Amino acid sequence: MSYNFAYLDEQTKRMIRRAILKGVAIPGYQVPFASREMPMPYGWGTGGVQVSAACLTPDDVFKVIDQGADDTTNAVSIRRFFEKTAGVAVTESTAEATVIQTRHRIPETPLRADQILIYQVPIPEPLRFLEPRETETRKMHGLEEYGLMHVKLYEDIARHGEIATAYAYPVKVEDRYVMDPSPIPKFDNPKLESPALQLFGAGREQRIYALPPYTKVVSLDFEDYPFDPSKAHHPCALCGAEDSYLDEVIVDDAGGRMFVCSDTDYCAGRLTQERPHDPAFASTQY
Amino acid sequence: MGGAKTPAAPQTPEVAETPTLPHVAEFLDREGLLQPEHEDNTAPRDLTREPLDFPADRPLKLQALARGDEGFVLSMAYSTQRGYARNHPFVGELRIGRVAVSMDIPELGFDIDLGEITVSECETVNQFTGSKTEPPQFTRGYGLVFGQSERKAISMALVDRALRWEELGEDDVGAPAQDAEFVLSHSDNVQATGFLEHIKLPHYVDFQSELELIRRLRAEAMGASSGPREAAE
Repeated sequence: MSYNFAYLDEQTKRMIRRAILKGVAIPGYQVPFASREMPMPYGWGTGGVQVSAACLTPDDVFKVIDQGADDTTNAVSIRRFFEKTAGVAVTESTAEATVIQTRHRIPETPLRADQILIYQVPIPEPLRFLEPRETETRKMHGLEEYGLMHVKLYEDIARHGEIATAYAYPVKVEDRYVMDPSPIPKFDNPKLESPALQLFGAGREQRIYALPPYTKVVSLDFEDYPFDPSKAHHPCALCGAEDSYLDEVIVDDAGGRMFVCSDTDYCAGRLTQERPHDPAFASTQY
Repeated sequence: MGGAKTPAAPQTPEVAETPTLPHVAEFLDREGLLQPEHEDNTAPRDLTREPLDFPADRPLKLQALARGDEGFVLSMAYSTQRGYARNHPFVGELRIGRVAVSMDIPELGFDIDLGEITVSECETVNQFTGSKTEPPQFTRGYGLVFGQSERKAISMALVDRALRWEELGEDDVGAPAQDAEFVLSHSDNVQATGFLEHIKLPHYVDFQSELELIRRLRAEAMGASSGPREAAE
């Protein structure tokens, strides 16, 4: 069976590109788009996949991560999908990739201006958990009425002594739109200011938004309670990195645990540098 | 969705060879007891080709309900029967038939019939007390669904009628079935299933961040009040 390049028909890709361009022109603004049914369930990256399909060219090198890892089920499925329907080269290396689709992480390796990072977004509306109605939240964005969000953050501090949001931490883009960075840990928020183009696709919710390169992105906070991109206070048990986001892995029935990098490419890269001849840590090439 | 228009289309001689049954509602129509549906010949917005947008007009609502999950539409309809935006329906007509599915091929410039599908159609007749300008009259709810499914067709007609409260000048009693944004945003089974089942995917990165937050908050709370803990509950 043969597919049109990257599965979607050209008309649809054009429609998605128009939404992307609008998103780039208005950073942080959620552009409604006519999301298509994809051959995978909603909630499993249909938005990210449609944005990737609209961005990919035959010369691109494609990388997909879920939870920072290339070998997670969702990442493997989506990578294979574009291998099959677009015939593009794929990689696990952040540095080699030109287009990276991600769920829940920003790679540790700093991105470059010639790369595009595409996020899978479940709920694009940062105000949704405060106001369930789309008709209301669109009005609030239009009027730049973000008082509700600031009150929520203030109440967190009053109740818990700090802002009790650990992932999908809201940001303000270019002093205008409050934006949901997708469920990345807040540790990743500082990386949202990047030389790379960042695109966000929410298929089920039919929204696309964007952060053009070098866009100003500020995590919401208060002067006396500044934003803190915290992480577990451990080095990685495999590569020793102290600057990467760590997963806590249970290793035995007694509840023993170790902390390891969630970014598998970053971790493997550091291990290969250390032990270049150990094939166990060499990054797999597809 | 060709042929899904609520008012019976006048029969044209070309289709006369197909035996057609008149709509039951036409008989009530003759007495003026039934509110006429105003004909609107503008092409309806296509839910599968445009993002859902509010306020949604009736064609969009009907599309969403026709595509909606049967269990969801049924429960919404049932809730109106139990009093959440109650508007007692009579089944004016309930019928099952086959309709042609044709596809517009822009390159060819004409339609091609792909085949036939079975659909179920229901038109309900509901009370309407009238207003200052209009005497009491019956109003309609409409349901058209894929396949042989009387239950879903009736359900759809009830929910359609409940969603028409604003157009018919009725009160918003705050019932779920009156809330177009709520009903339309949650009726699609494919969306609901996908999003529900996505929680089977790994979430260990965001869970880890939450885990660290909860541990930190607990450590601070325990450290701050090393005495009796009743305040912490």
